[in-house]
Amino acid sequence: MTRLTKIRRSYALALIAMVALVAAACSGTSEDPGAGQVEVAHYYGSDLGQQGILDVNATFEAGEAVVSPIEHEAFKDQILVALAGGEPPDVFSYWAGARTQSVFENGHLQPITQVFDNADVWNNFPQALVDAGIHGGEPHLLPFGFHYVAFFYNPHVMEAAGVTSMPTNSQEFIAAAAQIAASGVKPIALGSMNRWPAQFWFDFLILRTAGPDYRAKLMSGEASYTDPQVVGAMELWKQLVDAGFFVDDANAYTWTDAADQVANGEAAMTLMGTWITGYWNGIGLEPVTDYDFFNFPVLDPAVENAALGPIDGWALSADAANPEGAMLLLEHYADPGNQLTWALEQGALPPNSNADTTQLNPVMAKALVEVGKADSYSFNYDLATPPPVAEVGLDMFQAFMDDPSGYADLLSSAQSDAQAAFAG
Amino acid sequence: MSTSTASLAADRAHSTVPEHGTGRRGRTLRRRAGMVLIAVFVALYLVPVAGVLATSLKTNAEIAERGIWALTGKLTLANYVDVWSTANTVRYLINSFQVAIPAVVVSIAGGTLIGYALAKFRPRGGTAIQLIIVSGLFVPPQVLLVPLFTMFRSFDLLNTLWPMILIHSAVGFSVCTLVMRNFFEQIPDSLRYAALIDGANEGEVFWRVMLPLARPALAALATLQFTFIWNDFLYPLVFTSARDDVATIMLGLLNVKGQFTVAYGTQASLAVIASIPTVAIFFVFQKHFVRGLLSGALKE
Amino acid sequence: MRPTTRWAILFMGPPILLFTAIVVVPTAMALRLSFTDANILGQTSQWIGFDNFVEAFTNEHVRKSIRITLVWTLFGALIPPALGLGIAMMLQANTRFAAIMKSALFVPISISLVVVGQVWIWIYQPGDGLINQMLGLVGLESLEEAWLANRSTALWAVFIAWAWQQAVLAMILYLAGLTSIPGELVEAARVDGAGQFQVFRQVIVPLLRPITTVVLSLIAINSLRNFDLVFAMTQGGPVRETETMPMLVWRILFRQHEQGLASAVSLILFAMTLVVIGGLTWWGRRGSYVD
Repeated sequence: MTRLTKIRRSYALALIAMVALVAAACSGTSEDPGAGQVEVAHYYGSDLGQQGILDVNATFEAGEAVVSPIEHEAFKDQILVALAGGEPPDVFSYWAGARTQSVFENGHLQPITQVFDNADVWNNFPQALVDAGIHGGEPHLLPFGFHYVAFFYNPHVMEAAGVTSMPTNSQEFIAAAAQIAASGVKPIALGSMNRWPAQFWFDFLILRTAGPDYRAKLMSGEASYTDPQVVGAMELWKQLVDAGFFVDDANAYTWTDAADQVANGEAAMTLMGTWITGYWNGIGLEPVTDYDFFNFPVLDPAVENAALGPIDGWALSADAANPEGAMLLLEHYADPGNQLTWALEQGALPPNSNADTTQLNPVMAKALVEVGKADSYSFNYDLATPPPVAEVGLDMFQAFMDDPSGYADLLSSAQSDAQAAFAG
Repeated sequence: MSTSTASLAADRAHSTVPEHGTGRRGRTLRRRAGMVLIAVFVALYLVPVAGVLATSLKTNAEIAERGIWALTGKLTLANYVDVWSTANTVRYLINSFQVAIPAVVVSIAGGTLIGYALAKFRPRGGTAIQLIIVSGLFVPPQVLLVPLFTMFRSFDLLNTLWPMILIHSAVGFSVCTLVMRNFFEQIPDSLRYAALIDGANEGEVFWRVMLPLARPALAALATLQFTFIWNDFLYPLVFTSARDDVATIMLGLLNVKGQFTVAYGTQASLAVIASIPTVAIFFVFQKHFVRGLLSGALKE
Repeated sequence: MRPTTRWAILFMGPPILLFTAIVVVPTAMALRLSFTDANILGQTSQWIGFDNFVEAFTNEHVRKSIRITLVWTLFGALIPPALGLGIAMMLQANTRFAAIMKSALFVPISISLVVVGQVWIWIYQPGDGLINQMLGLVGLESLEEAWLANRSTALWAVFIAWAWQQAVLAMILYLAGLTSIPGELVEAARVDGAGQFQVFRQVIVPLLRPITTVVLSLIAINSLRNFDLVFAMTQGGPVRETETMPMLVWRILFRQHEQGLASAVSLILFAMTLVVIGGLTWWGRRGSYVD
């Protein structure tokens, strides 16, 4: 029987090991956030100013911000999963506009009136930015940085091609692009692998030809993708692609690839938001000498000058475990000094008017001036139309970049898909 | 499927199929051609693996400048230091082990119990039970996602490691039951009766007589299950979303891609770290792995 | 109650309870959900009968996704097993390499699809990707391509990355099968005057049939479940060209927020899996009678 005892002993040991392991698995898997711990999720990777978040959080003394950085594209799905799960992070970065509206409508946010009152966001932020945070009559999103979309270019390339003054209307733009192409460089970089970088083209072509009011109708489903206004915009876009102005295989690249192409002189310019300056600063480029921007040209002088861009903000989950701490953190995020820190790191414009904007680099300072000069400020496509509809349009832009010739078919199938998405 | 398969003992030591070819010259020629083909094939498999290793050892600046596949000389461990110290790497690894170890243990224990009961006790309805459990192999995870999500939410288990432990345990019963039932079927009942006559009860027979015999099959299953669970990406993506501190290593790969967006070297170093445990286990247990896969489906 | 029945309950009870809770009940819940218009963000839902299934079979995106999954499964059942068998036979003829190679090949098969995807993204990169650089080296710049971004190559590019791993799985199993074929059988056939191809066709292939059934079943399941790799490489893009059914379910759930439709599509996938596996089992059984 000794052998059996031995076996029994070894199996008893194994059993104990199993139990220990199961116990190990159970411990430390769930932890209660302490009084001052605030769970924060955000989509700012190293290319989008992650260090700025760390810097701002480091000075938060009322508590501790426990941060989960999520990959920018994955974040879009993941935060919805987390919200639906009822155990979301306390505070999360989010885009103002239709995306915030969608999670607000589904009851996943709680009002942050206390933050707006304590930090006096009401008076310290420009009215348009205050409004961008209001849903259902109450503040639900704290603007943290806003952006301006324009043609960011490489001055060295422009100089080499002999383009001395930047184009302001369509003729000048086409002439400049042709000149750049003649110098052997692709005029326009675009990285539409993740789809959204292409949307700015659609946005501006509509805004500059049909105007912001028509665009608002299209975004809300009152106008159709088969309207002559949209067809006209796509035709313009197609002419630019057909002229060979865009890099080949735009769908193969991310927005940082496109930024790299401009930075290293493979392409002259890219239509992108001001966050590109933060990325370029990060790889050692100098504003004005290494990069600058010009506005999207006027296409129809009768149409107003609309500015375009997203507003990044912070939202407070309805199911937040620590709403008190979260409110304090949001107040910290509303502080002009912190907004400036973030703006400088990411390449954003600070919503708080008290932020010392003299510290912005010349290119960002110019962007701030241009926003002020614009007649209106619109959100880009995926923030202007409800998320399920945005999926349809974003696919269409990518399909268009793959093969612009069939845009009529793309528009009609986009219209039927969009209709279904609006209905569903 | 029982007759022809009995002859297929998976791990016969030596090749018994003689080499083909008619004359000596034909044979050399054929062998040369075979070597060339093998060389191509080796390259096809070594290059991607070497690519990740090399990338993980290059500086990000060098990769940005000369591309991922450039054959440059300077190698450094900086990326490993970086990803170990600035990302949640240690946490990811601990989380993965905390999921994989209990889930491997529970799935194999449960599968063994069911498999043994089906093979030796032959309960009424056993065939139906086996059919239901084995068909678990064919349920796409997407079917389970939403209901499980709702369920774990109501038990307040989201953003913990419990969903992965529970799911992998239960889903693992399918393959473990299949393998273990097949294994115990082969063991003659006389062994069991002899022990019963000696005065042992069924539990003691199972624990002292049968289980020790099953050691190779258990090792095979452990390899299979550990690899499968360690490499799983979907469940953590859904059940621990937007929380870096409960991410397993596979989800960590995605999160680190967010943190080090254009730092390919850093991403590659975490990919290497993430692969070490499964590769190591495979090296140790490779023979068992094959046997596990084969016995699972063959001797039905 | 027979005493063995009591033991059976004692043994099987707890694991079966867990299995029921985690697999059986949720599958039933998914079935119920598929008849509703539940939304992942919202709370309310209504019974809408077969609408989701009608939608699934009429919606062009779902139909395309079913097509992609079927094509993937078909080629998955052809290419990796064929490659795996070829390599296994080569290795078997060169025993010296076999041992080393077998060890080396455990790397591709033990790493996760997330890592496989990452490597292959680098291989396919336009510009300085490995494939394009190789094409450049041999003067075939004209063939360079943005493999993952081009709508006509993306699906195959992802498929090849997947087949790269699956072929090893097939190879390992076939190698085990080949080593167990009794040499006398092959000798006997040769004495009977069979040529090499005839030996392959009439001895080796039939004897490997049970292994083939295992290989095909495993690969079919992996084909039909393919999410991780697509998520890591393309997320279904460009323009939904690589949207396998699991990827589509993900998209419907988390980008369109429609739980009901997502459940319906996932159940269709379940049904497809059962049909494929049923077919393979039947084929395997039929084979063993012939033997």
